[in-house]
Amino acid sequence: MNILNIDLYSILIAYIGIALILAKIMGSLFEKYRLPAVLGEILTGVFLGSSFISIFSPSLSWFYKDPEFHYPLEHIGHIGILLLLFISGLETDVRTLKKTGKVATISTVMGVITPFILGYIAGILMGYSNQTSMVLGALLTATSIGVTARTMMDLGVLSSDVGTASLSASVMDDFLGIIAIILAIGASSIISLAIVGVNMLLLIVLELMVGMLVIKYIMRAMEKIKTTKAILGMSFGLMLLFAAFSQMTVQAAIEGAFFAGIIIGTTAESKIINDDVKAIAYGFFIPMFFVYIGSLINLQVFTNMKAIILAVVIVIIAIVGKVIGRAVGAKMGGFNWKQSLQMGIGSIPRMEVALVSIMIAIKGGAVKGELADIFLAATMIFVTVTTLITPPLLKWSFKDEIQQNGG
Amino acid sequence: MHEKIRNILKKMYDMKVSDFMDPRAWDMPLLEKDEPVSHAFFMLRSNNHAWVVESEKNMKLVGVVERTDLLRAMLPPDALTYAYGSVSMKIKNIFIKKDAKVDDVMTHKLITAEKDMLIRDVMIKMKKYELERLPVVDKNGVLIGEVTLKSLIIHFTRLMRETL
Repeated sequence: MNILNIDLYSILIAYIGIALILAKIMGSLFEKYRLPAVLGEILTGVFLGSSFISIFSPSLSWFYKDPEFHYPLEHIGHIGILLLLFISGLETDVRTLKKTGKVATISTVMGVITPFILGYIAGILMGYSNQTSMVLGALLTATSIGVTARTMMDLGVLSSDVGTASLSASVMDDFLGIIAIILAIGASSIISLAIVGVNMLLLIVLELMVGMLVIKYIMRAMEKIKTTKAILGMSFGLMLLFAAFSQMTVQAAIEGAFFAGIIIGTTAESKIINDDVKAIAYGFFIPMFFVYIGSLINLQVFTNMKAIILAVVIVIIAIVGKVIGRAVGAKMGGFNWKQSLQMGIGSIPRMEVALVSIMIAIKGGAVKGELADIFLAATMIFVTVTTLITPPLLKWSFKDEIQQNGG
Repeated sequence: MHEKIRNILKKMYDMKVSDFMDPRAWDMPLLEKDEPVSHAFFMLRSNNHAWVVESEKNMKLVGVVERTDLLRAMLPPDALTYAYGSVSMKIKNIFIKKDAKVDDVMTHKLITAEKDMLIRDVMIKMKKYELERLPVVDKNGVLIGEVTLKSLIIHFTRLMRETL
């Protein structure tokens, strides 16, 4: 007896509804315990994923296999990625970037290169292909400043030299992380790495030159159009065109989205789209991206030795590579050893860029099949571990300052 | 009477910014971008805003400070959240940014008006961007005056009084 008419479409929209509500609830629960909301959103995805659902009810998961169910979620997730980068570009104050201090600059660059190289070498030693190893390196590059900033603030040291340098380093760090993954996906060997690098540089220069030249006039023209939210809609359109063009040339839609954000962000008119873009992104697409990535996790992989080994190795490299890279860089920039170590520890957490990277590496075919499952699981483990261990480590490294503050 | 008011408004629509602009640019609240941020706080005790220029010599407009900008600078730092990619804005907080200058807290995205812009367009712009005042700049970005919602209202009431 069928009282309800349950078709795929109604399941899909119900699924999206449940996903959004649960993601926000879980996100706020995590934030309450001073953990990144993103982790809660991913966990929501794990609960809603076919891997988890089929443990309880294998018959329920029939719809997961239907491409009509899967593809819309995948595309929503990937638009979420583009929006994440678009916002990042819009909010990147180029003037702040220019003012990045010497310590922050050197330590950021060192802190990106070191884990990249170590990750690449580890990949080769574990028998992965050249390209997979480069993806592995790229996954480890970019710090997520959220947990560090929050912990340093709780400890009362955010306004110290270390705190300020950490914050300004993170602006550049996000950017370098994105570059690293694009290079890794586009390059299958060292030689092609150079070619992709040059191509990308040309693309960035082209986009910036054309963009900066014409954007003022485009925005001024957009202003004249009187339809509701015209500037918002058309800025979105521009962003997607930039992304598409970058995807066609160097397989780097994210790069286009990011630079579209930077370019549009230089105009005064962008002032009114900032909040609207965020509303759409954080209210829908970005949580859907994190839920989607969580739902992709194949729980059986956690019983796979290969995945566990990979996870352990990348957790170690992620921590050691970043701390050493950043610390040595900070020392070269003029910090003393203790400050350098503090700065290094502050750069351990990874989150958004690593997740974006693994997703586009999978989409771009740089890791596929069983390897994709393994890499995804390992990435999840490593973002979780690096996020959780940072607060206690920071607390330890700042113990003298905390005592001085009378804490 | 309603008809008359409408006619007054219609007349205002076709007037130009220069008709409303206070020509005494030196009378406007002004800050130089390299002044310490404390100057902004003192200036905004009695002014709703201050235009920020590169220097008072060249009068090149580079930003504006409003009270809400100062709120962002004063906010307890534990109220700041750090989503991906949003760090540059946080550095504007004076707990985080040491020796902050006016340049560090101001809004540098400026919606401007030109001298010969029509008042109808000024109104639309004010509505669209939810602004009460627009700086008036010349072709080189030099600040030559301001047009405020207040001056529009004053002018409107004056015309009403004259005609009614």
